[in-house]
Amino acid sequence: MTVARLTDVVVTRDAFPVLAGLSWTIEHPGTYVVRGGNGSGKTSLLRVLAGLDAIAAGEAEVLGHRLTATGRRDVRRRAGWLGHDAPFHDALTVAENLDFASTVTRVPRERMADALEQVELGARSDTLASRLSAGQRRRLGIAWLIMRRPELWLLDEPHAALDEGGRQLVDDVVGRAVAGGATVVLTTHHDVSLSRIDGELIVRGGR
Amino acid sequence: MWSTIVAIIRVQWRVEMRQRVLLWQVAPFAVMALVITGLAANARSIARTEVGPGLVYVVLVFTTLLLIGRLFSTESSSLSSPSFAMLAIDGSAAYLGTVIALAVELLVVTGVVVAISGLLFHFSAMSLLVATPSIVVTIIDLTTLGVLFGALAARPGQSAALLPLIALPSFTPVIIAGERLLTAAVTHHGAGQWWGLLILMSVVYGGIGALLYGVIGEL
Repeated sequence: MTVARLTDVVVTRDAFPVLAGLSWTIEHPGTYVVRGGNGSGKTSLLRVLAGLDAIAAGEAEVLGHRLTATGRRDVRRRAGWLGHDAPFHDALTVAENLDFASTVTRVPRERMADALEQVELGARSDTLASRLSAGQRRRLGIAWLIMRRPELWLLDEPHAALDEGGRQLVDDVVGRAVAGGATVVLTTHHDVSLSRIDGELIVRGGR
Repeated sequence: MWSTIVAIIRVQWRVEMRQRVLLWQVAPFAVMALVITGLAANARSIARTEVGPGLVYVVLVFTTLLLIGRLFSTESSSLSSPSFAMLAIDGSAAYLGTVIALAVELLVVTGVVVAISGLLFHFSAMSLLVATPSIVVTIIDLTTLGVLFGALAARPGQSAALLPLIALPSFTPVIIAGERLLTAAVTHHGAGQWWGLLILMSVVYGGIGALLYGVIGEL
């Protein structure tokens, strides 16, 4: 099954076309890298693939769902997102945040300890999210993706704010996800040291 | 659905226990607003049982707006974030959980406001006891509307001033019904017909909110 097929997709924000007729097909699960300068439309592309943004024109199908209002919600149930935003509540601890997310998405809570160990936050489960560094918050976001096991991983600049160990951790997690049959799409400005890249897209001016 | 509702309530209350917004910001605001409006209306006048109920509800309306505005400004970064949207939480469950959590918090503040209003406007304990069911339903009505409008106003690109602008006109019939019932309780007159309106609004507003809350997130 084709993972995603975008044809002449246009997305506007405040009447400005952030994607202006972009076409891209991801035929098989694997690792896909999206490159481009600041404001080129990398994050907007990821948002479309995540079912977060409606398209103004063109055709889009992700994980077998056409991106109507209902289809976008269905995609969000099967995709995972790691972005620049803080996905967790500052007043809750690491464990409480993951507990809430797993409860509302019906993800088994038993996966939490292993996920936190994988991102080296096992000893921080009782720490408030507000007390985590930017890199640790990014690791917490990765822990949630490990728990959720989405079919489509959408990682917006996943290496940002991470030290060398953290970047290696991201690459390892991506490798394991793809080995498990998932599709990973990540945006980056930099060279990545992934062992396997199945496709690459360069975005310029929303195309 | 119920597990989601309970999870949302638990998170809201846990956050409140840690941040104490109700204790240190909302409750002091409500008490100060009540005392100031009482002074402005000359609470020692003989008409205090007539003006008092209206002033109590004016204070409760602004307290509701403050609490909801505070909730959505605190939450806005996470509520409008892609990561939160990716949880694909059922809209009805998110709405009901937020309404229940917030209504209980608002009822706590209302208890304080009503107790002080008793002293300020010389309402008897018995009349306040009689008025309690109508006060509870009025607060639930304000919360059902407030949460819906709070979500609308918290959407990216919207101004914080939008919440009172869209909420206040919708609050008006709720406040009139609540005020009539409180006045009836403190003046020992009947006003049973307002109960129907109050309960109807609970059902209608609650239903609309449960249906639309998820849709607002998709806009």
